Amino acid sequence: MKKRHIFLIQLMLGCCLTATNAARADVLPQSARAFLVEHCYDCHSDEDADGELDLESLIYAPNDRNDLKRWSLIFDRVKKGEMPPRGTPEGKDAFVELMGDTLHTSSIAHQKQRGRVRSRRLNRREFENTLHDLLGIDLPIIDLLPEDATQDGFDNVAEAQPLSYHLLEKYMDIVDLALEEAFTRATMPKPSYNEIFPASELSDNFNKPGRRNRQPLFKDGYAVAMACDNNYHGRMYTTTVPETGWYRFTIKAKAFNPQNGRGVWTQLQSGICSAKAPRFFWIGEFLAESEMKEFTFEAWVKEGHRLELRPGDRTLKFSSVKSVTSGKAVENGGTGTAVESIKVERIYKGLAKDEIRKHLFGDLDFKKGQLLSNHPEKDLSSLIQDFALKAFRRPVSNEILAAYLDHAQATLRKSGSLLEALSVGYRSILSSPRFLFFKDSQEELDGYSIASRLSYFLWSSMPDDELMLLAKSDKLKTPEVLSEQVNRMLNDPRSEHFIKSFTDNWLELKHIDFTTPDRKLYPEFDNILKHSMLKETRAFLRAMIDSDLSVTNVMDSDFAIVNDRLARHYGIEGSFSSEMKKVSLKGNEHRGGIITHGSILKVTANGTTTSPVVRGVWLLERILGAHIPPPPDDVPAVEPDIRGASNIRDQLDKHRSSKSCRACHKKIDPPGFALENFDVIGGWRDNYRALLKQKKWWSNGQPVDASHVMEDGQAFSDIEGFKSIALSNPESIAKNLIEKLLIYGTGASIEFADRKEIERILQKSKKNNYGLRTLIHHSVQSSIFLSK
Amino acid sequence: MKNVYYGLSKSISRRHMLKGAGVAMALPHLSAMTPAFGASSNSPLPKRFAAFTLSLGLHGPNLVPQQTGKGYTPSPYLSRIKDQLDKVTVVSGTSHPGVSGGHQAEGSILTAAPYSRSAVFKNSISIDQELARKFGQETRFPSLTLNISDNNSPAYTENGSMIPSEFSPSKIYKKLFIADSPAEQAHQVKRLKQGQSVMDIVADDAKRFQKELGSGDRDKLDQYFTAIRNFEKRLEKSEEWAKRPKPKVDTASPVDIEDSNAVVARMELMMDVIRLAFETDSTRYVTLHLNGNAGAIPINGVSQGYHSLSHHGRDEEKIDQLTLIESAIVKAWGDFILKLDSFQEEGSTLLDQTNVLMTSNLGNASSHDNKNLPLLLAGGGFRHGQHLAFDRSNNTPLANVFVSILQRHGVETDQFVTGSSTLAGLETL
Repeated sequence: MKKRHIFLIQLMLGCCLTATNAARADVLPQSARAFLVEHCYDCHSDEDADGELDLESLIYAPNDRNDLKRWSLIFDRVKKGEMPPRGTPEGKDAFVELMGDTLHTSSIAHQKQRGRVRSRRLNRREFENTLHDLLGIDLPIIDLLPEDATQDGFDNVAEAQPLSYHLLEKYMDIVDLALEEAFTRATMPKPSYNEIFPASELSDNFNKPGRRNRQPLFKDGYAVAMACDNNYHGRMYTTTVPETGWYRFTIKAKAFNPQNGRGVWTQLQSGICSAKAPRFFWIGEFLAESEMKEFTFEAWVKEGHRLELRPGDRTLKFSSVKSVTSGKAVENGGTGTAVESIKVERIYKGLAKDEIRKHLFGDLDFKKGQLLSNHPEKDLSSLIQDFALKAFRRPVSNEILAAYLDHAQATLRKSGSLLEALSVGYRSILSSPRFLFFKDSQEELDGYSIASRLSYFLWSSMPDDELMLLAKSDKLKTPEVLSEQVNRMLNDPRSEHFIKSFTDNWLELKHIDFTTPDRKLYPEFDNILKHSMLKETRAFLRAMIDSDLSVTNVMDSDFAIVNDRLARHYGIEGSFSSEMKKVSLKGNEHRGGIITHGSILKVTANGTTTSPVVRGVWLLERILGAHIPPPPDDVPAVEPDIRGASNIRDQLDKHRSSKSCRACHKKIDPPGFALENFDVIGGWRDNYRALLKQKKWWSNGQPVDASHVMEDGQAFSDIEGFKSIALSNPESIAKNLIEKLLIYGTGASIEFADRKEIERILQKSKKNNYGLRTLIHHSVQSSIFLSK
Repeated sequence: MKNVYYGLSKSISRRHMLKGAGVAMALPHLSAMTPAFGASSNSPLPKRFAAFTLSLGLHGPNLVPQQTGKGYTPSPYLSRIKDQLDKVTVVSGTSHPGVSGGHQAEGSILTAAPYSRSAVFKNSISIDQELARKFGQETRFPSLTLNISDNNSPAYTENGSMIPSEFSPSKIYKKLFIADSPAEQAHQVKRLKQGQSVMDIVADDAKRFQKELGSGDRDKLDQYFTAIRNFEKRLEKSEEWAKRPKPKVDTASPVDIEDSNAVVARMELMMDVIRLAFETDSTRYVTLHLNGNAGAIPINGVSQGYHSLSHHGRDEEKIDQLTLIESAIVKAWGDFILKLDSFQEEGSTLLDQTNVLMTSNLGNASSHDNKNLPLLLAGGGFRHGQHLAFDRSNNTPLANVFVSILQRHGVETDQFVTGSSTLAGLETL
């Protein structure tokens, strides 16, 4: 009761302070509080308040982001009529209007004062790409840095980027590594390696006893890797690479005893390939067909690692391990991949040597281990200046540059080596906060900030020369130029970085390997399927951007983009190859839209079971833009059971019987159950798969029931019914995607202040049916994207 | 030459002086040398802390004993370390209040920072770093942050920045024990000096940079300053340490295990390095994280991936396989304790001076439950040999254990994030 007194005092103070009802940034209007007292306090006060929300002690402190978020949520629930639970309260409209104004004013004031994006820095993906572009190298360094923390699911949000010397040290180590690589490439001869291995040198030769070594089997002039479960079968010792680096593998191969006219999906990996070191590094997959064909792969391979090549499609009939080790499999009709030859070539990705030199040394000649210069001090200055402009992504004054320059000049005087002085100078520039951080100083971004924001949005890397020139001439702010640039950038191959990392974050594709499907429950799963799934989703997003397809395609589409492996997995009829191909759907395949892609269904499952709760929350938060609070502390989670006896629907029904669970589960469960016909690997199921005692493989368990009733009372019987209900509200899908694009594109969460502008983007995009390219354009042109 | 190495504190005994630094370093027990690296001989023995964190938890029914208090019947897992149980406290019914999100809650294992999907998450300092920050300046490494296969860790700095892990036992061994040649030493010192001059430039410019930015950017730039300042301090310290000889140990350098699925073998190998680090007082605070993204662990009877086994869905065969893995993990932990206990250090054992912890962010990995976390505690001057059972439906804050540990280390506090007292029933010796 003590608290109520304090509240009264607050209330009285509030009266004095806010004589009028005009929204103030830091104070909750008295009438808003009065509304809460009247309609909400009954349940939401005291420590054991419902939903762990104690309104009575919740003060209004909008400078705290979590606090503002909480108040926004209260506003939303009242606005949508979800709270109070019984009927529309008196004074609701006035409350909604006043509260909306107040929150907007508070949030805008906060943004104006502190900026929306606060000191974002390069995350590890951006750091790698930037070093590559800056130095002209291609060195995989991303794994040397720890994974970036995420906020709202995205790995580039400034707020989730705390810094410590431990991390700084890692960044510095990588700068050294990258510089060393660039200078080596520029100044040293590059080792070459170029070998062609005929089949006889790639296979076990049964004519020579004692040479059986899990290599492909030699038959009719081919090295044949068999479809089998024999570990490390298909490794080829001769392909062991002499040094760590990039290699190109050119493989001539065809199918061997194909089954039912199907090609043989073949996987290529590198590794030490022994029981002591069973880890493989994925290189790629190809479809071996009856004709001999050439397949080319490029991969980073570690010293001493070799290739393993074998059929990887687990829906093929496999030869027994014994028949492979004895060599009989190749004689008795076993299926495999027949390799004629493999060429192994050391290659150097990134720029050619001359180009790297231009990046590092400008026009200076490099001869006999020396940089030739008549005016080393002058040349050093101008090179450092050029490099700093690119690395800092904006010009800097001589005053700022002086310290970096002095350091390099001192090295030149001491060592007499221009090369060393340059390397030392570049190192200090790449250690600067001006390199690591985005510098967005004004409320309205200047040309250089826009250039950076754009290029990290669409390319995950530094702006190119064209963007920098436009920034310099201050033309980037004009809508026409901006629009031209967005089109140019989206049509550039570098936009693959956007496709990949946006889908990695937004749709969580980066977690595709988080769990491995249970071999007994899902024996048909293989890596070729997994990689095909990723390609499918990325190709789908690419198609949406290229043709400005409506965001409703996320929910449902009349086409799918699949290859041979996926088409069989999905049961889509037609003729397919290894390439991803766009096909029209008849309507009974259940594969329209991104939400029924194998990739999505896999990342929302755990390898053994699916959960309508997990998938429901995922759909609401990732696709429909709804916010679901985490479950209350005291509710135990539902424990999955795959023994075939119990059923998730019954378990959840029990779970839902409590009032506090029901409030959220009536939102979560419908979309979750809509996906219930899709198993852990995205296959269609009418029955759950169960592991019964004494059975080697799975058996059919209980039947699946994917029907449910939406929160508003609309019932559906399966995924198609759910999709058509969801499609009646394309705005929510579009709005959600705009928000995700803006979070990713700016590196900051969406705040209350952004709502009006997002609404504007939504309205502007409507006439193009919320096409994805249109959404990107309007998002870029928005005040959210163009402000700090 | 004689004074170069140590700056000779008085605590180096006459015996060591007579033998000369090089010979002294070869002595099997480095404990006698400890004061030269750390505090003076009159101060109490250094206290250590080691946390082993599991990203997939331990199967509750196999871990938690039926009876509480002393004299309980060991659970299946605890029976694997039967001989050590008088040095171990098993705690049930604790968790971190306000922490949910299944796997996502991994960042809170040692920080207790409330985590939920729906709020802006800001992590805070982990218990190991809290100790290292206060007392870590006396050893070559303030702390070691380790993992068995990648660079994630449960160790966080004050501002919630994760400390990247090291995961190669041989590299850590080299850093700790293998003497650099004079040329290497000189090179290292030169590089460190270069690093310092770069940091000077960058720190100066960062001040200017900060003025060019708005008030909202200040916090981050402050973090950057602190990072640079700490980095500089570290470089200075490293330079000092680079000039001092490293302790020698009898154990040969470990050979890294290539098999990334060999979770338990990798854990054991790393534990050996940790033990050596403690014995030589090279560091006092260590975390070792076991992530769950391994395939089938090479243990007889295990054929499925570790993570997918943790999602057993109550399937007996899966639980059986999971049990094999987790028994081996608990056993390895017990062996580690045994080894610390057999190392004598001025009348007590190393275990007596070391709090050894094993815990996780998951109480039930199959349902991604963050309640009822597994918690094993050994050594470090507590009265062990009991099962402290708290309410399984209304958990006690796990961070109370952190408060107990902090107090044992001489920190006067009764608060660590959600921990607001010492753990009830856990008494000091």
